[in-house]
Amino acid sequence: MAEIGLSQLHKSFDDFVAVQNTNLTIADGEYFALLGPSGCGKTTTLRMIAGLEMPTSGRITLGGRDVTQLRAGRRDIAFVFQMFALYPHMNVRDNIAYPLKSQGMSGRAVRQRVDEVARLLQIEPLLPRRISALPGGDRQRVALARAIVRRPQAFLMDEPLGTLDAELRSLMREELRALHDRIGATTIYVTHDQVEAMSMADRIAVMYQGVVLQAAPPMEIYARPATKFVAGFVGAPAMNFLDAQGEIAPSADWLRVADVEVGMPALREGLSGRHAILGIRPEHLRLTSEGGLRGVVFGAEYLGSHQLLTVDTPAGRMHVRTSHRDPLRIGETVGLEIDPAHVVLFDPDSERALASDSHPGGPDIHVARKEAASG
Amino acid sequence: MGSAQAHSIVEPGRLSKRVAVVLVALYALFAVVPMAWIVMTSFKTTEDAIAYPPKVVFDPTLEGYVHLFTNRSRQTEEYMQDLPPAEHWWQEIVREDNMVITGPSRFADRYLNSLVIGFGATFLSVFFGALAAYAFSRFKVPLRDDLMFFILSTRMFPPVAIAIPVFLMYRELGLNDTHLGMIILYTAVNLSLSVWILKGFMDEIPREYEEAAMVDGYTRLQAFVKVVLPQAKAGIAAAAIFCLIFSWNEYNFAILLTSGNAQTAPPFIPLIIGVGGQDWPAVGAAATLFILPAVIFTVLLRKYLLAGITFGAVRR
Ligand SMILES: Nc1ncnc2c1ncn2[C@@H]1O[C@H](COP(=O)(O)OP(=O)(O)OP(=O)(O)O)[C@@H](O)[C@H]1O
Ligand SMILES: [Mg+2]
Repeated sequence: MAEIGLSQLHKSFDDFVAVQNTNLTIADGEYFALLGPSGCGKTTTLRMIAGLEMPTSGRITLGGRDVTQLRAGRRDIAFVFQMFALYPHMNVRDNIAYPLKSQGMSGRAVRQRVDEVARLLQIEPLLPRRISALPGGDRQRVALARAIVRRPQAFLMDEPLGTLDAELRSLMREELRALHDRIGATTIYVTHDQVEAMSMADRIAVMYQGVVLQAAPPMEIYARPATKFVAGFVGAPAMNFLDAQGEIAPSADWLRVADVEVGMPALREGLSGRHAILGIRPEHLRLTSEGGLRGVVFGAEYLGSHQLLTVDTPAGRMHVRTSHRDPLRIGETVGLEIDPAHVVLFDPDSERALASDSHPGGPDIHVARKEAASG
Repeated sequence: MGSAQAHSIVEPGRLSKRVAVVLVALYALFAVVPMAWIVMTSFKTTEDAIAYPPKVVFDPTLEGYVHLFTNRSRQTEEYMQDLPPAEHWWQEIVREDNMVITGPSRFADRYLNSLVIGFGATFLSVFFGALAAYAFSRFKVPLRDDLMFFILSTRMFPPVAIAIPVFLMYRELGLNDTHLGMIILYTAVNLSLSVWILKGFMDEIPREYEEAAMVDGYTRLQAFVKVVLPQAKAGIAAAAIFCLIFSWNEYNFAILLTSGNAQTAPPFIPLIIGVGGQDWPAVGAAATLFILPAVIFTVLLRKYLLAGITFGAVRR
């Protein structure tokens, strides 16, 4: 088991930059999720760590050892591919045993080790079967067995649940996490599904357009998103973004949205421009009969324990999660009160979160603007 | 809707199936009759072979085969009567025509040459073809598309078009009438086809397979041999069949470049006709033996040709 370090890791394909100057340290035994939308460079990052792709620049360390120039087979890492990459010309046992054979292990030791792993994953009855005869969930387990049989220093998983149906996915989520807790191996888990990342990982790195915007524990990502993109990508329904009016003083603790005064944690820095974007999660809005931001209920989903509302306000359409008992009717006028403690303010130019009494402030990365410029 | 004769979109109708069966049967008949005629001729006597009207029912004999493999000389009646009793059945067959065997013919040699050169060239074509196809399929080869087109273009003219330069080159290099020379030549001609066929198959094999092996401790070459090649076996079989058929049947280069040493069967077979009258059964026997390896090879590998490509566990 080992710590994985990425320093100034960079990868471009011709002119296209897939991964930009990435610095990350994944602790020994950590379950680390790499989360981001399609095409943001997650797979490319993982492939560089595995040795399947050569970085354009930067360094990769594994347990303190620089492995940047080492070929994949020498790194002692296991990779679980999205499509499992099980060899169709071998049965389950041979598939699991295959990594051990590269180490020249004796036949008996191989058998023993395969049996052991099969027991751990409860796939012993499958050992003599053909790969093509297995359903998705079992293939997933076989792929995991093939990964752990070698007892590698780290596991890399590229959307390992991506091809499974929803029900199996939540089951495998629990199995994967339980397996990790039992063997305690450093794991990097790539996914574009925020639920997977939030529910399984010790820490999440949110990636966008080749850049890691934030690497932090799930709660931190959720409560103190470093940029507007992170805030919008994590959480469902998504965070509400409202345009604040007028100038905001460097240490202000209130602002104005659609002519309503809203409190917030006191700012600790000034704005680069005159405007700001206020972010508030749907569950941090309270319904009031009088005052607040007035709006009309546009949609209502009654879900028993809570309701999801969309409300049209002068500041725009807003998502609200409320535990309000009585179902609300569409067309009803309601007031929304913003919980000042949970307000996050974003700089509209850099899209980074501003430092305040409750937020350390996001890094200055001009990613979203690059996208806007390139259309 | 609900009619008894509901048409399926994917299943051909009963009528079109019947038409297809009839067409295939006609084609099979068309293709098989000449072959059957050759095989029958090989078991006829010289007289039966040229009988008119042609004989379909006849007493089979191995005379043609004995003639094919032997040199014989005709003797007088008195000489024949003084001979000691024949030791082997083949001696008896030729004695009926007042002939004695003077030695083996060169057919066995020529046949062996064909086997060595045909299979040698096939092996090399597929071997180098697989390596090149893998490289084109997986690596960033500069000018890949142009190179692939260039490779194909070597097959766009009839190979004999370059016969003269090849002949001159081979004379300088001392490759005329050698097995090595013919193997190199046939490999060169076949390589383009082999690269193209195999690249198509390799493109279909997800690279995750060999990458999984490489992460698990294997080198790229090991991954290629142990993971990629087994998955490409349908393509390898297809390429091998095409390469073998070409090198096995090749006539023009063989007649130009080979004579005493490395001559293959195709230029030798026509020579049989001239030896001691028109010996059609011997020609039939030569042709029958000649098509045998190609038929066996194709039948053995046909399941890979037809099996199509089913990439077991891959989900896309
Ligand atoms: N070999 C390559 N050549 C050129 N561009 C590539 C190559 N590999 C990846 N890319 C590009 O790099 C970008 C990042 O790709 P990557 O596969 O890392 O994304 P991802 O985050 O894993 O996305 P997904 O969720 O779709 O798997 C993509 O825009 C992709 O088109
Ligand atoms: Mg990916």
